[in-house]
Amino acid sequence: MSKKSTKPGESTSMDMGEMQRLIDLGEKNGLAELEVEKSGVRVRIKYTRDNPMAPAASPATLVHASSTPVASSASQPATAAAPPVETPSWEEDKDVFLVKSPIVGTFYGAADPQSPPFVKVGDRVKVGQVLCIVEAMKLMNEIESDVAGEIIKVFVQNAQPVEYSENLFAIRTHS
Amino acid sequence: MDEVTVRKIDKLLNLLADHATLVVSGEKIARELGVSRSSVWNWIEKLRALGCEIEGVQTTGYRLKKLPDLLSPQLVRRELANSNFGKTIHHFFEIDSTNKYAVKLAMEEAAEGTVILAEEQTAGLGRLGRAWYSEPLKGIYCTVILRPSLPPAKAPLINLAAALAVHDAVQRINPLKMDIRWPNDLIADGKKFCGILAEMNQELGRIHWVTLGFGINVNHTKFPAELAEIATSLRLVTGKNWSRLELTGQILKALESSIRSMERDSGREVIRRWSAISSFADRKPVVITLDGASYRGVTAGLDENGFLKVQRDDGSLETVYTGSVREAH
Repeated sequence: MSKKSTKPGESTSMDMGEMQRLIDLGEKNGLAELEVEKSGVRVRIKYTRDNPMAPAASPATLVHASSTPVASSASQPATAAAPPVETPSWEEDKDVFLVKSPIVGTFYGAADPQSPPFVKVGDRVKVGQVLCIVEAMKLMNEIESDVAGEIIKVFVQNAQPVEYSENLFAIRTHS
Repeated sequence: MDEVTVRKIDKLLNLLADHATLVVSGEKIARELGVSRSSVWNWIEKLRALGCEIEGVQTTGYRLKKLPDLLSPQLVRRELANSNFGKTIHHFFEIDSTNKYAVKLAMEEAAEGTVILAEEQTAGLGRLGRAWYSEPLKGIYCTVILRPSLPPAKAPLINLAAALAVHDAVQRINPLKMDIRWPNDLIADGKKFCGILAEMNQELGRIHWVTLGFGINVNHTKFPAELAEIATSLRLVTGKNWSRLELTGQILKALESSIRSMERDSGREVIRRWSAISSFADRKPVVITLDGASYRGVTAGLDENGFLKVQRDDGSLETVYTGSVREAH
């Protein structure tokens, strides 16, 4: 399974690797627009031909086909007709700390299937607090927070594979 | 049993082992142990209760007839010669989990090669909160603290090295037909006799510590019904009792040398040897299960990090990071 880290878009049940593959697919085939629906999430990608080298910066509008509201830190509601939503630039925001995976492995948000997750969006965390486990080949790596702050995004779903240096959490260090 | 008692028992076992076949006077025992002469009898009784055969020689002292197969620190060290692993050993007659205790020691800066051994675990740990069945005095329940000079990304390979260490130790004592199921289950007669589970703490691209836990079924003669189909012991496989002391010593020595080899070559030799021994390395039909979902495929070797490559039935190539790997039937 190959996954590239991407700029996160809106929160969806479709993972970022899958998104990236869709973006790449349309890019490679010179499409103007690509629309895909999967497990209640519809994704429409429009390509700006004058900047083909930056597909991730092209507007990618996500549409939730189900009526269930989805937690999101962005204020605009995502609808088919809405203008492209600005992608939050986590990498550049100095008040946002990104927790990255130190190894290739499988992400676990809880100690075991019966336990509640270590953290969720909105939780305040302390330095040294356990955020998740990344497991590779029966080596359990508890990822601790290097900063104090508020969890504003969990990038990965439970039991999903993560790449080396892939974003796991965004933590706002100042509110 | 409290810590002082455990330490005194260790000392007494070592004293008697030092003078095996000779008579050790009650006076000498009292002096070495720091107990009164009148209580020496009580200490000898404690050892007898643990399976030590000791002859009381009228008025002169005690003679050891047979050492028990206890993983007492000084007895284990007798098996280790000059190895660095096992220089410090914490021994428990009963503990919740050797892994849990090792993590605590590692956070308190315990040195590399510190070993935690227990005769019984009351809450032995398996993967993701599962239990490890730890029958008293029958198995080796052991955790080693490592501080290897390796990038964290290479740390998972330690689990392959650990499986090799157990394989090599068993082979050295009594050669038998074994397999290693990816990544680190030791299999004999189609059933598992050793499980290995590691935990890592790292920061800024450096490994602080790894705790490497072994649960080895050695002299078990039976298993609870729910395990009988999947678990075995060296005793059940070979029909004879094994010295846990000897096996522990061999494992620690083999482990130390394979960890050092990984630091030299980033694990290349470990991957090569693992692949030569395990039937799971190549062209094995398998079922991979992760988080409730399964797929089938055929194994296609390990990558440079020790991850298992699997060619799925639909033709795509998958890299397995974790999850259960079982032979497909």
